[in-house]
Amino acid sequence: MLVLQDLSKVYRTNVVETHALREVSLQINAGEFVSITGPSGSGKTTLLNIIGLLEEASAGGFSLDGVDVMRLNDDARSSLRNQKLGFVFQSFNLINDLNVADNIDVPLRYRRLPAAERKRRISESLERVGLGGRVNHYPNELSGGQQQRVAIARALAGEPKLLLADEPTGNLDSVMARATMDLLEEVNRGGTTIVMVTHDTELARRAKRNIRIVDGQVVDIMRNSLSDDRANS
Amino acid sequence: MWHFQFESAWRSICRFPVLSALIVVAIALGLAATMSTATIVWRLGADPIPTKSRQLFYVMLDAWDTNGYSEALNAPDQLTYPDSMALLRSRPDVKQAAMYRVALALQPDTLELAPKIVDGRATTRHFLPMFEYQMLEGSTWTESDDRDGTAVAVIAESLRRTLFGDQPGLGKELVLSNKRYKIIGVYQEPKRVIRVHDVTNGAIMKSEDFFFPIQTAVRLELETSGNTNCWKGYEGGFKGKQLSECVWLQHWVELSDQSAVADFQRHIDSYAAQQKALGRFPRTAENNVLADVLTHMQLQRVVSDDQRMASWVGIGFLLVAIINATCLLLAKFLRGSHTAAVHRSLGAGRADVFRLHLIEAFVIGLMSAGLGVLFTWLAMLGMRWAQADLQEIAVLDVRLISILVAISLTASLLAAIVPAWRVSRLPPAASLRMN
Repeated sequence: MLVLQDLSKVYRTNVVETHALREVSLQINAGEFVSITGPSGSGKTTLLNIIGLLEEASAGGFSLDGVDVMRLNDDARSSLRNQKLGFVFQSFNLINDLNVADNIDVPLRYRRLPAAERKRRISESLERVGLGGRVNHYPNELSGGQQQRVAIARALAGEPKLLLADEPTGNLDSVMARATMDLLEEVNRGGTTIVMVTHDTELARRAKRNIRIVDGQVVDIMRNSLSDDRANS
Repeated sequence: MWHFQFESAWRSICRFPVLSALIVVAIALGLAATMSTATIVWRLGADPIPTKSRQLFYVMLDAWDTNGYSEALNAPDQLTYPDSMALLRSRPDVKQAAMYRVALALQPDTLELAPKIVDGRATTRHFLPMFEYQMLEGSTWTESDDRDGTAVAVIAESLRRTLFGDQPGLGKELVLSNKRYKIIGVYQEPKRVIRVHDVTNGAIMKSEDFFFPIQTAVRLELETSGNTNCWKGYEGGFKGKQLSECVWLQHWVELSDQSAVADFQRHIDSYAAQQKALGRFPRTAENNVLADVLTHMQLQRVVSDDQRMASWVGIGFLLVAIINATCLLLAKFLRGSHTAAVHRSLGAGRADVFRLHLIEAFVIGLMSAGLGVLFTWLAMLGMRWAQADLQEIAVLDVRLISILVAISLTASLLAAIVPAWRVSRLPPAASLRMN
């Protein structure tokens, strides 16, 4: 699904160069649930943004679902992002003046799907996250947990091959956080590859594999037994 | 997709209502300043008689003396009576209209109508066809009427309606300043903003109520109600004025092509030289002008320097408004950059974001146009109130509104290009992170 080869990201200003990522190499297979952990400023969000085609790497190789994204222009990257990726952000990033259905509709509009198909997907994705009755609500009428579930529904409506979650429970209380993680695990069991950035080690252990980044370098990749136990049970 | 983008644009406008309103008001004020002033220049400067403007020529001969005038100055803008009559007599083969303005007392035959002063023009028989007056009844007078000074008149449809109601005017009589005239024609007043045939007495004036032969007016010694300019005194009342060096007649000729123009120019040059040889034309015999309609309007400053300056100030105001709107749009778009970044993260390309913001500018342009029409209407209302002769000029019509909408949309889109481009180039990750 995802292959990174010696990937680097350098932020340059007139006076300073900041190496956010240093020769990161890793492979994530289809259907995996991978967590990325590390201290603040370690480069984990930068890595997620590059994987999500929201930022460009400075050097190295990167292929997504067999496509060499380093060679793509902005239009092609946007199209690929729309077709194959879904995002779940810490701050939800819902558009406040759109209701739930219209928020989920945005990526489907850019995919230029017919209205009936969009309507079906919106309805199915909302049912899947348990918010079928909240179609016409606006984000500020929902709790944080519900907003995050709308964000997940928005990501799922596009039927992405890869779901990228950046601290998805960071703004939620523990109950909501657990429910959100349960939902992500369910999505993963459905076959969607998930890459989740978190600094919460408990949550990270629920992923099948954990990649630890420090100072822009992958320092550890380990398989989680907790996740395997859950899978076996 | 268009529906979605227009909806998104509208939501974006509503998201920052104060900023959006500032942009709309700024552009609308710029539009009103430009349109209200430029309309005056445009309407006054427009060709008032497009089918004839290159065939009608105003004649100017330099009969002035040297005192107080320099050689560089134009010839006086009217002719003396002897010069105008000499031109008529010497070239009967050319359609010519010598004329002067009169104001006479209309004395209706019925007690139901009160007497009033009416505006008329003493001229020659070619005037009405030369200036494309549409005849509703009868026709212009004949050569013998011109020669003999017959008491005939051609009246305006509005005067006919006032005097005779539903009855035709042809054959009836008209009493003007105690003199009876036989009505031989009725014309439809042309819908011209500029009274092209006599801008020396003010360009924006209503059409005359009647026309009649110039020799009739001269025979009756009817004084002009227009301008008379003299550089040398005269005695003997109207007769004396007829022979004087005072200029008080306008003189037009109709010339079909360039060779006819050259031929008539030679004729007036030759006439001027002859007059100089006889002791007249003390300043020069070479300052003789045949000015077509638009040139004549320029020479007469139908569009004044003040009006031109005001229109440039208006255009400058619009440019300032566009620059102002550009800055406000940039601020607005940057404040909304997080939403743009969300769109980007969901699959919108740079071009989509750029288009989204241009559509927003388009909607702002439409709103500015609406408000601009209101402001322009108010500005014109003020101009009409301040200057009565702008009643027919300072008016909004469909054409003007269309131009205003087009300018508004263009201005808004121009103002939005740089801000929209900036926002579309913002890295989405940075905007999302800032949230």
